[in-house]
Formats: sequence, C-alpha cells, structure tokens
Amino acid sequence: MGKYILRRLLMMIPVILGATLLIYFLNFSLPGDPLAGRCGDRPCSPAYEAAFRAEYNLDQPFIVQYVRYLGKLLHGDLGTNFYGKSVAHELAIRYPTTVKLAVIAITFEAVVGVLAGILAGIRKGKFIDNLVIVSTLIFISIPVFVVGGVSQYLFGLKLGWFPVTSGDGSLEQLLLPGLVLGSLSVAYAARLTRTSLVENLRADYVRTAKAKGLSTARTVGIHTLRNSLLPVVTYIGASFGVLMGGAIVTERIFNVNGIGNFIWRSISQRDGVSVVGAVVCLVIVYLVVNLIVDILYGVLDPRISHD
Amino acid sequence: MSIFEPTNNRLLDVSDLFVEFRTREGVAHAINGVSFSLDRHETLAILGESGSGKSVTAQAIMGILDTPPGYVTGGQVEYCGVDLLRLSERERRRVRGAHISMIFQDALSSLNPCFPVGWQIAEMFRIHRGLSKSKALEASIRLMERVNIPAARERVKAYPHQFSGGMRQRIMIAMAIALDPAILIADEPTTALDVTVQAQIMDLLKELQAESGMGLILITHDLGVVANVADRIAVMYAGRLVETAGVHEVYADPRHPYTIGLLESVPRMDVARQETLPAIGGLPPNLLAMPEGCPFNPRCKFAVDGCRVGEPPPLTQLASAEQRYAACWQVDQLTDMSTAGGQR
Repeated sequence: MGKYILRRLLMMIPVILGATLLIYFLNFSLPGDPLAGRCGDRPCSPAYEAAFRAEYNLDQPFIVQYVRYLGKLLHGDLGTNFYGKSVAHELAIRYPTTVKLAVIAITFEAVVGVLAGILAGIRKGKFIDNLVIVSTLIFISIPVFVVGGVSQYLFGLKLGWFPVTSGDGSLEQLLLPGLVLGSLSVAYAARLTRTSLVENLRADYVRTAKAKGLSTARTVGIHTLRNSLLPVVTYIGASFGVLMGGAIVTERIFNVNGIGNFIWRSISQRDGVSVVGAVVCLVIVYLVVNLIVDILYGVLDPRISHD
Repeated sequence: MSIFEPTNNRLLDVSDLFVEFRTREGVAHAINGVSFSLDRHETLAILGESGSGKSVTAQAIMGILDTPPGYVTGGQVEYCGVDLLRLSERERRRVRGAHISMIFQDALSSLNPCFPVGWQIAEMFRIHRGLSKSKALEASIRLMERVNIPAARERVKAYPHQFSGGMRQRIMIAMAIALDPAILIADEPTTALDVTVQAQIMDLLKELQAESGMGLILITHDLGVVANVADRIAVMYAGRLVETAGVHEVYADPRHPYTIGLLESVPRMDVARQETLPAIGGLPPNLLAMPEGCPFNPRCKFAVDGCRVGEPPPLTQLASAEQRYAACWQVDQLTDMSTAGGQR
C-alpha cells in the first residue's frame, strides 16, 4: 500500500511539469501587453518599463522565463503578480470559499443523487423511476448558466429564500450557488446509481441472498447496494476533484469570491503569474483527490488490491 | 418450526406445477404441469437441455422466481404436507435456506464479492437463528471444516475471489447446509468445474446426504454426473417431464424418444469408434410458439401423424414396469423399434 501511494505520488511529477509548461506557454502566447494602460493615459516611462520587464523576466525568451518560474515553484514560491501581491496569499484567502462551495455541492450530489438513484432503481419502470429519469434529463440538458440565472432570479429575487449574491462567503450565501453547482452532478450520480443498482439486482449473488431466506430490505440494502455504489463513489470522488477547482460560471453568476472567479479575473487582466499559480495548485489538488478516491476504492472493493 | 415436522419419508410433493413468463413478445410457458416427489435420503436428478425448465422448476420450489416476468400459475409445492405456494412471503422466507436450500452453477458470481466468505456463511445463523456475530463465525468455521476447506480458521475472513473454483463451490455448499435443510437443490453444481473437482464435489454432496438424510435434487445436463449419484431421473423437455424412472432403468432401457436421443449422444468406450457422435437434430422449441401435438415431434424420429396434432401426451405409467413413467404416444411401439434397430 505504501509503495503504491509512493508510486502514485512520483507519477504526479511529470503531470505537474506538463501542466505548468502548457499553461505557461498558453499564457505567453496570449496577445496583449501587461504594461498597456498601466500608467493611465500616458505611456509608461522607459525606465519604469525596463525595470518592470526585468522584474518579471518579460525581457527574457520563453524558456528562460519558464525555467526561472519553475525554480521558484520548487521552493514553494508561486510568485508575485503584476500588482505586487503574492499569488499564494491570493489563493489562500479564496480557497476556503471554494472548498465550502464544493462541499455543499458534493453533499447535495451524494445525498440527493444517490437516494434518488436508489429509489428509481428498486422501483424500476414505476412512477418514481420515470420521475427521476425525466428530471435528471432536464438538469443534464440545461447549461449551468441558465440553471444559475433562473434560480438566482426565482429563489433569490422573486421568492427571497436565498441571498441573491455572495458577499463574505458565509454558508447561507453559498447554499444556492452550491446547489446550482451540484445540480448537474446530482443528475449524473442519480442515473449512475440507478443503472448500477438495476444491473446488480440481476446478479447471481442477489439470487443467492434470496435463496438464503433474507428479507428484501437486507438483500437490497446490504448485498446489492455495497456493489452498486462502487462506481458511484468513484464518480463522486472525481467530481469533487473537479469542484475543488472552483466553478467559473457559477462563481461569476453569484459573485462568489472563490478560485473560479479569481482565475477568470486573472485571465481577463493578462495576469499570467496568477493564472499559472492557480492552475498548478488546482492540478495538485485534483491529483491528490483522485489518489484518495483510488485508495478508497480498494477499501470498498476487496477485489482491488494496491499491493 | 413445528408445522414442518416430516410425518413420513416424503419430503416434497410437486404436483401439476405451471410457470409462465410474461414478456413483451408474449407469454412463454416455461413449466407445463410438472409433478414429482422427493423422499428422505433420495437423490432425484432433473435432466434436460438449456431452456427445458429445470432451473425454473427449482426457482419455483424455492420461491425465488423473478416476478415479473415469471409467475407460478398453478399447482402445489407441498413440503411436509404444507403447500408452500399458499404461504405468505414472510413464512416462505423461513423455509428458504433453513428447510430447503440451493446451490448454483457459478460459485464465483453466486457469492457476494464484497463480503468475506465466513461472514456470508455466518449470515445464515444470524438471520435464521439469531446467533451473535462471534458465535455465528465460529459455526461458519466448523462448517468450512466439514466441507473440507483446509485451514478454515485462517481463511474465514478471505473473500470469494481468493479461493479456487472447487473451494468456492464448497463454500456455497457450507452455506446451503448450514441449517441442516431437509432438501438441497443443486442447480448444475459442477458445470463450471473441471472433471476431477466435479467428482470431489459430488462425493462431498453424497457424503453430506448420507450423514443428514437430506433429499437432494440435482439439476444437470451432464449424464455422467447423474449416473454416479442419482437414485431416480426425471427427464424434462420444453417444460414437461417426458420420462421418470430409476437411474438404472433409464440407462438400460430408455422409453422416451428424447431420452433415447440423449443417451445415444453420449460418447461411449464400449462401442466401436464412430465417425460422428449421433446428435438430436433440430433445436429445442420456442416457448412462445410451441409446436402442436407433442412438443418433441419436430425432432422425433419415431413421430407419426398422431403425434403432430392435439394435446401433448401425458406422463403415464408404463404397462411393462411399475414406477416408470413416460410421455409418448408411441411408447409401446418404441421398445420394439429401438431394440429392432439394434441401438441398445
């Protein structure tokens, strides 16, 4: 097990290198000059311009810029953006909000999605099954900015159940954005649970459980569910990794001061250092979450061995 | 459970059982009036090809048919004089596993992959007898030893995939005999195993039966397995019994064209090598569209015009022998023809 984790951690190194190189290169290739408009209506003085370019290595070729960045990254330094602020600090003040948002969404997904899937699966072909299939289809086919906009208008403005936008990122303010963020994965989780349950209910070991004289509740609740939830756990884990990366659209709609919003603003301001820093951070979080999910899978399914 | 005290040797009486599957394409008549009985110590082999209804019969007796699409539409399944089909689901559940238990063909898929084998065996004691976890686990270890699983105590926490095919089937057997059932139904218990392991499993079943006196219903298409262990044979075709008799009588002197065909298709060492093994031509009938008359008539080499119309022939006692039944209009002519043909 320890060996497996070590191997997985080592495998992250090339992934992180590749990700930084790609993002750094994309950023480098973007048109526009961070100095444009920096000194108001007048062009900046040549002395300031030269000093600025030297400070951020902008006068160097791409590869030198990248290697110097990487050198700092190895020391855990995510760099300073063009406004003189530490990227690490900028991320640190926003991350708790994004984590809160992701936890709300994932709880919604795990509880409502899985429950709806179980109900639909054991009542296959009945009313509740059709209800789940149709309602999940609606959430899957409507883009998140529509769901977000409509629920903001309906539940925020018209009904007044939730705050319209998020200010300081309290739990109450994040509830509606969290539900909107989770709506798509709730639908997928429900469908996955349903399919997996229906499939497993036909399995031979379920017939054995019946032949043993077990009650239906025990046959489904203990014997079938354990197996049916394996793919669901993987899906929910993976979607948590995605959600931890912040949600650009949802955070924009509800003005949540999280990572997604930060990335969006940094991109539009050509603040490359911030973008690369945030993305590196997200890649690492994503990889770690995935590793945890894979380890968890081995715990849930005795057939998977990590030795 | 006092109502299930056996009053005599008779354990099970299935009479006139009908099962149908209601599918989108129509109603498939899977079992059409099957009757048989089982005594203590007795081994009844139900023989037939895939789709003949042997597994469905077993599932109907157990009450584990998938409903829908499967429905028992008629008949009685009397266990110690009580018709199981009239019991409530709750009462039936107490019979299942404890009084009548069942083992299946593929032990790997029939065991739950997510739970240790000991836990799965112990579940029988915990659910039916209310034993504590630790006591039930102790009982499981004793059962695993009884079915000759080496190092049972160390392996009780192992998972099904960590065992070999033969060992897995032993675990299924341990689970099935846990509560000393009066009847054990074995649905192709050795089909997925290689030949040496097959023999070991059959020996184990015989041994357990000798100890406890349970009745054994062996469902199979393997004539070799049947010859060694069965007392009586019931041959099924298209959801009907076509011949029932003692095992030696059937092998020595089959009285139904289908049984004759089955036995001819077995490779034999005492007969000169033939170019090709004889096979029964054609395919089993489509249960949604049964042929008129005798269901076997399209494949039967003895069929006459009378076989192709009217009702299927009923299972009737042979004039020549007691305890022998066959369902064939031509049964009296058959003996002469098959002996005249010099086939047996």
